[in-house]
Parts: sequence; structure tokens; C-alpha cells
Amino acid sequence: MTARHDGEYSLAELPLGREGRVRAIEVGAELRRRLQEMGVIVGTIVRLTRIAPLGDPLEIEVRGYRLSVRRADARGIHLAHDPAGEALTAPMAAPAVA
Amino acid sequence: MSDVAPTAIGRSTLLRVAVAGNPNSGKTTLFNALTGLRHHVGNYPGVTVEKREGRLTGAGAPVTLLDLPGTYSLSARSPDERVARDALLGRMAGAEAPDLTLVVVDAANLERNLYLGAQVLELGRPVVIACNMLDMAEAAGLRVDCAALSAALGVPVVGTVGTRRIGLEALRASLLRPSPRTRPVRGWRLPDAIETAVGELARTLMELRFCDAASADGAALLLMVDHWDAAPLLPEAEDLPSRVRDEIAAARRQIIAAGTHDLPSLVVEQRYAWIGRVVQRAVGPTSPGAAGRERISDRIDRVLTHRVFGALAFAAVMFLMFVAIFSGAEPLMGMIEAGQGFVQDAFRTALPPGPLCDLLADGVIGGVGAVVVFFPQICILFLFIALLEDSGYMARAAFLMDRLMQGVGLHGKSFIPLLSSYACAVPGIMATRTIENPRDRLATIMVAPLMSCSARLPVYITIIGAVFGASLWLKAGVIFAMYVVGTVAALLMAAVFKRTVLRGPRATFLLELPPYHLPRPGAILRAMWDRSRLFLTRAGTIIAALCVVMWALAYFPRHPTAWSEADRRAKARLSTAGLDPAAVARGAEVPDEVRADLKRIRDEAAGEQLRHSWIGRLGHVVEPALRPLGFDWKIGVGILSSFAAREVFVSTMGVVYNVGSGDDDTTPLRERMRAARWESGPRAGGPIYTTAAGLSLMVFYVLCCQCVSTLAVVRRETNSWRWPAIMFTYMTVLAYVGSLAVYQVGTRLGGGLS
Ligand SMILES: Nc1nc2c(ncn2[C@@H]2O[C@H](COP(=O)(O)OP(=O)(O)OP(=O)(O)O)[C@@H](O)[C@H]2O)c(=O)[nH]1
Repeated sequence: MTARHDGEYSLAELPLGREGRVRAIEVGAELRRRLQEMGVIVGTIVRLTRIAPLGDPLEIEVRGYRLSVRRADARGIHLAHDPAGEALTAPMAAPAVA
Repeated sequence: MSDVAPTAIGRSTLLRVAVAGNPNSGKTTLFNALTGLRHHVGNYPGVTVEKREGRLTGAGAPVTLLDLPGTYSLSARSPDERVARDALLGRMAGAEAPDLTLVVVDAANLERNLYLGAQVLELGRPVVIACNMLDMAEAAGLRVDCAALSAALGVPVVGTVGTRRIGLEALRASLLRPSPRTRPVRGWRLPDAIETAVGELARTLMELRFCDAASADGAALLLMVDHWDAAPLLPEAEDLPSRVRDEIAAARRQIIAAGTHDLPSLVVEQRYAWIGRVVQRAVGPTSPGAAGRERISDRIDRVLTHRVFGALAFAAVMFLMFVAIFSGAEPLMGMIEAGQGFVQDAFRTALPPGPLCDLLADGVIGGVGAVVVFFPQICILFLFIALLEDSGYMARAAFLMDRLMQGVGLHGKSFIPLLSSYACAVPGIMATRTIENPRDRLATIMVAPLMSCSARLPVYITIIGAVFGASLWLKAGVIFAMYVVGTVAALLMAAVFKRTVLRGPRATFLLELPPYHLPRPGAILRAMWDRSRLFLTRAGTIIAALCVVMWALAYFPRHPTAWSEADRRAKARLSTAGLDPAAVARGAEVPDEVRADLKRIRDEAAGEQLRHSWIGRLGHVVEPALRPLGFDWKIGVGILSSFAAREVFVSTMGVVYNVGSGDDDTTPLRERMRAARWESGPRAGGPIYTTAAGLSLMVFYVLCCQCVSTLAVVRRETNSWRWPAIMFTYMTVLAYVGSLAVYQVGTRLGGGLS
């Protein structure tokens, strides 16, 4: 596992409605390939758009479409700083999807 | 016959077009629009991937279209992808590579759609691109310039709106445009050392005629990437020539030596980088602020995936579907049964009585009827599934249910097949086709028949009537308990399967949530019909054949005297009543009490025949094994005959107890059952249908796989007898153990005394 630095976190920790840039994908080989083929590669911007009522899975927006991933898998998708520059401590209740 | 066979003109002038595209790109819509009603649905050899072929409409257009499965990529990691890749490379049995590939891309989602497009272009064969969903793109604020896209990709690009048939004529013209066509080339490069290694592999592929020269570079790249990681990523080992394997391994070593340890990631990144440049040249924003459709989808989702309203809406949709399958099909099924009775009567009057007449009337027509009677339920289920899929709600259902299904190692998409199995396992199993992962799909198939289907209801009701009396609450409570037993067993067995025979790397759940669409009735009816028809052709023949076998087991050997004796008694009864048998045969009036006596005589003969038949004898043979479960040989006969279909239990028991099979009113049967006593053994003289025995019998029916239709469908869907065999074995064992436990515990607790 990669060491964590300040301003780095996984997709599962992204506040609802916020964006992050993919820094590394550390999930099983098959899922990793699938994610990549569906456009989630290092450098791609992803946004957390929705959380299923039971808390899992998550819905993200990537390259203009919506993709659902399980929370456990989202923990392996590491993000770099928020491109919008917003602080991560912003309240969770921030408006979701405009 | 003349010598001018149609094939003489065929081959060379018929243009074969393969249609490729992402799921939800509108591929099926365009395919249907291009082929009209002239297409047929089948299966690719050896896999349960749907195959649709059709002819381009328009006077004598010499073009056939082959619809490939919708995939996100050509990496051969799922059956769908393998089929798409092999068809494009001309590696499908009995089919060359297509002359032209039509790639359908979703303009509103261009980057990801062009990923598959790029892979197809890399195969170096002529391509036409349909840039579909231009209306959606516009609604999302995107302006797609098809001419610029065409210039950037080097192949024709036609803008279309499939649902409104916009751009269809241009697309047709583009497909019909005469050769020669330009062959696309890969628009991006890898580091030199890698290009050299890939080039060597490509040359080997060409030498071995693995694919043709134009596709060699693209195929080499696909193979390199697919075989980069350890083999288990592939669904089953691919039978590559050993020379190709060696060459791949050599290239891999070469590439690693040159410093690249993760070629697949590099390839994906390069492809997407190139796509990014292409899209930048072809796509711009429309007027600022134009963004309707996506917002609408989000607004709908805010309700439909809401914690409370979403759950309510989902429950309502599922309830509606369940009720529709359960009760909506009822009148149609009644009509089919009436029609079947009518045809059977027609056969009986037209043919002289005897085995041939009985075979045709009861065996064959009965067998065909057993297939057709499922048809309404199947149509309704597939209608709902088509509606859910076309509208985009199916993906949300999986999104909502995934957390629950994860608990037993299943997938959100397993929910709907399992729920439909409450109505009937046959359509439920066919509905598992939406689950891509083969292990998840198999696990779902294997447990679906445990969900208590509607065919078990008459059995429950008969047994409850014989054992528990008429209390409505008790009845409802027991039936509900049976549904719970079946559901719990299904979930437990799913967990067992996923941890044993179907164990594998944790299934990936990666699901696109497409924007909502207004469903179109035409497309939905079409999809429903295509799939329902497959049921008749694929499973119907096996089911009908097995029904004939079951019929024969109950029909032969013929009782030597029962029928002639019955005939003699009937004639005697008529003459005591002063009636002429010949006149009665022609339809003369018969008083009610004489009619009842005649029926009794017939029923007794039928009972004797059944007890004399192979099944009747088998009932005696299995009795010792069934005694610990609380069943006598008569129940044994009922259970054995139920292997054709569970509901047969009721009519068989009627025949066994000499009360006939044809009545809707089962009161006489229930009375006979209540009065039944053990003839021998430790419980001789005691009642057979005790509470414990009744519960034990019902649990047996919940857990046992007494349904040849299910087994036939599993055989068809898994393409081997192995899985139906496993299903039959495990369910029979489960049923036996479950019933044994219920009866033994029940009698000890005193249930046997009541
Ligand atoms: N707005 C709009 N909707 C379209 C267009 N083409 C197709 N659709 C709709 O998009 C949805 C998906 O279309 P399909 O033709 O089923 O897509 P497909 O690519 O065959 O999808 P799979 O069957 O999942 O492979 C349907 O609801 C269509 O009605 C289009 O050009 N514009």
C-alpha cells in the first residue's frame, strides 16, 4: 500500500458531490482493468454523485457518465487533491447534485 | 432442381456487416431500424450469448447485419467480450471476419464509447461509425461535429438519433457505398521497444493465419494485454496455438526488460489520451446553460434511489410485477388449458381408442401443453424486464439491492431473477442473462428453483386441506412459512455455492447507470417477444419430450383386467338403469346418479392402472426410504409423478385415491387423505397425514427439484448436463434431509399424535 500524504484520500472518503483526481488504483487485477477500460485511469476526475440507501454501493460521475462501484472497491481508488481546491473539511451536507 | 444455387451469387456480393457498441449506446435500436422485422434471434455456438442477424431493409440491399453483444471493450474477459472479439477477428466457427464493422457510439458519452471504437479501429478493417444519441448530447450541452470526428478517426461518421430515425438514410447509404474502403490505422504509438515486441507477435499471428494481415497489429495488442496478468482473469483458458503462447511470453519478457511492468495500464492510458485529443477536435459546448436531460435523470433518481421513497417505489414495482406474473397470466393459462382439453377431446373422437390415441392425446398434447402453459407467465416477466431495462430502472434496482445481495455473495442483479422465481423458476433462470459474471450467474441459477414457485401452491393447499383443516389464518401462516423456508434455503445455498464450487475472486460490481429514457412500446414488445420465443424453441422441446416419458411411466405396463372389468361394470350399471350403452355412447341423456357411478367405476380403474404402472411399482420400491419422512407408497407415487411438474401431485393423488384427476374440487381427495391409515409398520392403523407428515411433505416440495422444465432450462442456459445434474442432486438431498428433520423432530414433539 502506498503511504498516505496530506490531501490524499480514497474515493470512499470523498464527500458527496465533490470531485477528486485519480492518483492510483489499488484493487484486484480484474476490477482494475475494468475500471481502466471504463475510463477511470490515473489522472481522471471523478465525482461522488450518490450513495445507495443502504450505504453501499456508490455512484460516481466519470467522463460525463454515471458508474456504480462498491464502497470496498472505492477504498482502493486513491485520489489526489480536490481540483476545485475546496477544503475537505466542508460539511457532508453540502448540496449534492446541482 | 437447377444448378444455379443461390450461393453462386451469394458469397462475393453479400456484404456482411457486424454491429458493435457499448451497452446502452442504442445499438439494438439502430439494428432494428436498419433491419426492420427481418431478423432472427439465436445463440452463438457454445455460449448463451444472444445472436441477432438480419438483412438490411430496402429493395434487394445485399447486406446482412450481425448484432454483436454490447461490450465496453474487446478484452476477452467475459463471454460477451470473447464473442465480440472473435466475431470481429473471424475466429467464430463457420464465419469469416465481417466485411465492415458498424460501431455505434453514444454521442453524449463519447470518450468511453470511443474506447471500444478505438479497439475496433485498431483491427484495421473497414469501419463506419454511427454517432447516435445526438439529441441526448445536445440536451447535455454538447455539440458533436461528425465531420471533424470523421477526419480525426479516418473513417466515415454518420450522426443519428435512433429513436427518431434521424440519420438512418445516411447510415444506410454509408453501409451500401461500394468498396474499396479505407482501412483505419492505430492513431497512437507505444515506446519503440514495445512496438517492436508487438510487431513480432503480429508477424507470428499472420504466419499462423490466426487473423488476416490487416488485423494482426490490433489482435497482437489485444492478446498481449489479455495475457499480461496471470491467466485466471480469463473466463476459461483460451486454446491459443502453443507458438502464440510462447511468442506472447517472449514479448512480455522483452517488454519488462525494457522497463514496462504494467503494459495493460499503459495501453489503456495511451488509448484514452488519443481519444481525448480526438474528442477535443470534434466536441464543443452548445449554447451555455443547455443541460436538460442529465438533470432530469438526476431529479428522478433523487426520488427513486431515496432512502425511503426509493425503497417504497422499488417495493411497489416488484409487487406489481409479482402480481402481474402471478395473476395476470391466470386467465391466459386457463384458456390454454381449456384449449388443450379441447384438442385432446378432438383426438379422442377422431382416433380409435388404444395406446396410440392415448399417447397423442395425453402424452404429446399434454407435453406440449405443459410447455405452452408457462408461456403467458414468461411473456409477462420478459415484458417487465424489457420495460425495466429500456427505461434504465433495471440498473437502479441493482444499485438499490446490491448491499442486500452482497451478504450472500451475490450481485444486485441477482435480485430480479430470484424474485421472478417466486412465480416460476423457468423465466427466473432465463432472466439471469443480465448478470455478466458467469459465477454469479450460475449461483443465481442454482438457487432460483428453491424460491417457492406458483406450481407448489396447489400442492400446499391440498396438503393443508388434508392436515390443518380450513382455518384461513392457519392456512395463510403455513403457506407463508413455506415461502420463508424456500427463500432462506436459497440464500443459504447461494452462500454455500459461492464459497465452494463457485468460489473465485470476489465478483466485480461495476455498473453503468444510464440516464432514464421514456420506454418505447414497440421496442419493448419486440424484446419481450424475442426472448419469450427463445423459451419455446430452446426449452420447449426437452420439456415436451420429458413429459411424454413421464406419461409413459404412468401408462405402462397396462393393467391386464382393470379396463375390461370397468367396461363390463359400466355396461351392467347402464342396463340396470334401463339404458342402452350404444345410445349413451352416441350422447343420450344419463341421469346424474348413474353418471356418478360411471365416474366412480372409471376412477377405480384409473387407480388400479396407476398402481400397476412403473410409477406405481416404483412407489412401493421407494417406500422404505420415504417412511422416515412420514410418507407411504401412495405419497411416493405422488412425489415420483411430480418430477414432470409439481402440480401433477394433486391429480396423481386423486387417481391413487380413486377419486379421479379432472376435478377442480379436491374435497373428496382431502377426505380420503384425512382418512388414510398406515397399512403396516410401527404406526399401522395410525393416520398417515399427521401434522408432522404434512409439514414434512410440504418442506419436501419446497426443497426438491421436481420440475423437468427447470432442469431443461438450466441445461440450455449452462450448455451442459453437469449443472442440472448437480442441481437435481443437491436439491433432492436437501429435500430428504429437510423432511427427515421436520418429521423426526415433529413426531417427537408430539405432532404425530394429532
Ligand atoms: N434519446 C435517444 N434515445 C435513444 C437513441 N437511441 C436509442 N435510444 C434509447 O436508448 C436506450 C438503449 O437503447 P438500446 O437500443 O436498447 O441500446 P443497446 O446499445 O442495444 O443496449 P443493450 O441492449 O444494453 O446492449 C433505449 O431506451 C432507446 O430507446 C437516440 O438516438 N436518442
